[in-house]
Amino acid sequence: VTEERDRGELGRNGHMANGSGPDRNGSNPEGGSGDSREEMHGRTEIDAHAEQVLRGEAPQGADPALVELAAFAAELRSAYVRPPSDEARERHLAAIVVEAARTEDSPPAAAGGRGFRLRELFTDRRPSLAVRAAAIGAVALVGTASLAVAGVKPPAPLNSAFERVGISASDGSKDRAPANDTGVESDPGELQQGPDLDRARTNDASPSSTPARPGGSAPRGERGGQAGAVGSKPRKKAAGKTHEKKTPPTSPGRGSESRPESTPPAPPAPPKNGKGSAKGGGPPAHARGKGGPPGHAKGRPPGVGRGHSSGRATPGSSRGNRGRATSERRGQAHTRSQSQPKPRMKGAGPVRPGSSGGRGRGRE
Amino acid sequence: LSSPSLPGGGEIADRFEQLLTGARAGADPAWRELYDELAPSVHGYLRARGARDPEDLTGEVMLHVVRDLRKFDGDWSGFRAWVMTIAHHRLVDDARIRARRPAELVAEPPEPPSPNGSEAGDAEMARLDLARTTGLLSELPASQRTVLLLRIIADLTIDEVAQVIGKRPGAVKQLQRRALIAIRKRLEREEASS
Repeated sequence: VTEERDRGELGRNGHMANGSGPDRNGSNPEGGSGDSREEMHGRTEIDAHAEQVLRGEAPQGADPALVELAAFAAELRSAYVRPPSDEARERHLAAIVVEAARTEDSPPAAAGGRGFRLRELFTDRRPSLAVRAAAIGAVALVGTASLAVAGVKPPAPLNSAFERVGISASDGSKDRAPANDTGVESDPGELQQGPDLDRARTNDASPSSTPARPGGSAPRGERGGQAGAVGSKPRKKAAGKTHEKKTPPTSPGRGSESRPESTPPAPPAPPKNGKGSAKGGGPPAHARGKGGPPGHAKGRPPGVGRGHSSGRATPGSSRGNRGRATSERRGQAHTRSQSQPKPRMKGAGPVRPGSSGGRGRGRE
Repeated sequence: LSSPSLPGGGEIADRFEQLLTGARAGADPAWRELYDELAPSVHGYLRARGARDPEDLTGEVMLHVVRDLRKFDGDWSGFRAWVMTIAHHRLVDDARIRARRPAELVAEPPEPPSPNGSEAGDAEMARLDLARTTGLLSELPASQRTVLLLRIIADLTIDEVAQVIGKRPGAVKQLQRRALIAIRKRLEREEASS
């Protein structure tokens, strides 16, 4: 409509009548001598002869402008298409030969490389059966190794299976037992060396015997309220077992939730950060045990889970202190803990369901 | 342009497979032959685009070709397009580096010995021609200039140029048409003024 109106206006103005009036673009497509007609013609001509012109060949009987254009292309080609100087050529060729020899020696970086396979493993949505089996095996291996490092004792059938094939699943507790063992909750069948063991058993017997080290990691253990196994390494595995037997069933959950219940009445030094202690773990003396298996150091009883990991959050239970801990000092700590009435330190304190953060073991 | 002929007889396009195999095996003659065929176009393109050191850049391009030759798969025309793609990318990298770093002032290279007589006249004519050609090119937008140089100097087809600069063939064709029209107008103006 707009176009028609424009045409009408143009018609009334007389521009269209004589054919010489400009259109909206400023040129007159109807005019016999208009620029656009020439442009259109030139454009068509260029399109038709472009390949020839670009090769520098003038088309037969073409517009002189195209001949000029072809000459320009030829000039351009002759002006620029030149090889490098001889000196540069020799230099380049020497470098190419060296690089070619180096490339030939190196293995092809195409498919089949280690990086490619790894990428395939992680990106392919449907990895092959072999890749899956390898991945599962690797996970199982790493998991087993992690458990071993954490000091988790494998079940007897698994242990015997290991021993059958010549793998000792022992965590070294037997070797270290004489020097370190003060294990309170150790398995009678496994930890029977040294006089500390008897004392430990005695401690286990009384509900208030939970180790509580004044100013040490006691507050943390108390806060955990689920008094885990007594902390030195050798006892670790056995301690876990004993806890399983003696600790009332606790439900999985985080130590922090059970904190109110397990917080001692007056801890000597309040914990600085809640992270380690919040998860509520074993008794302080355990946490301080130097060199003990991680699992032991964490001293988490069944149901408590990862709880009071390593006790680093508790004042006085720093790693430095743990580093200095000796079996003798631990024994003292136990002795002291016996004299201090801390009823809930044993980890047998009331724990509401879902309060402990025990993963795995909590389910036990 | 037809494929350049080789001293050995047949055209390089016909013997390209053999040449490629030799180059992959590290054969010196194969690399020399490939270099002699490709270096002039690469060097010319880099010069026309205003590379800082076209010769060094040409060498870098050829080294890149050596390193990545195992990844290439195709015929002679595809190989040339692939090499020019590398050259184009190296040129873009060089321009970026130049934009980041301040210009280094270097001593003016010594003037070559001036020829005598008709040689001097020819050289002067050639210099004028080069200046005129460069002037015409410099008036074009960069994209049109790139297309025109790849078409004329590197002797690539529309599709190959599209592959090198990462545009569609239709867009390349349009750029080429505009460049030719602009140059034609400029030539006509020059003729009219003279």
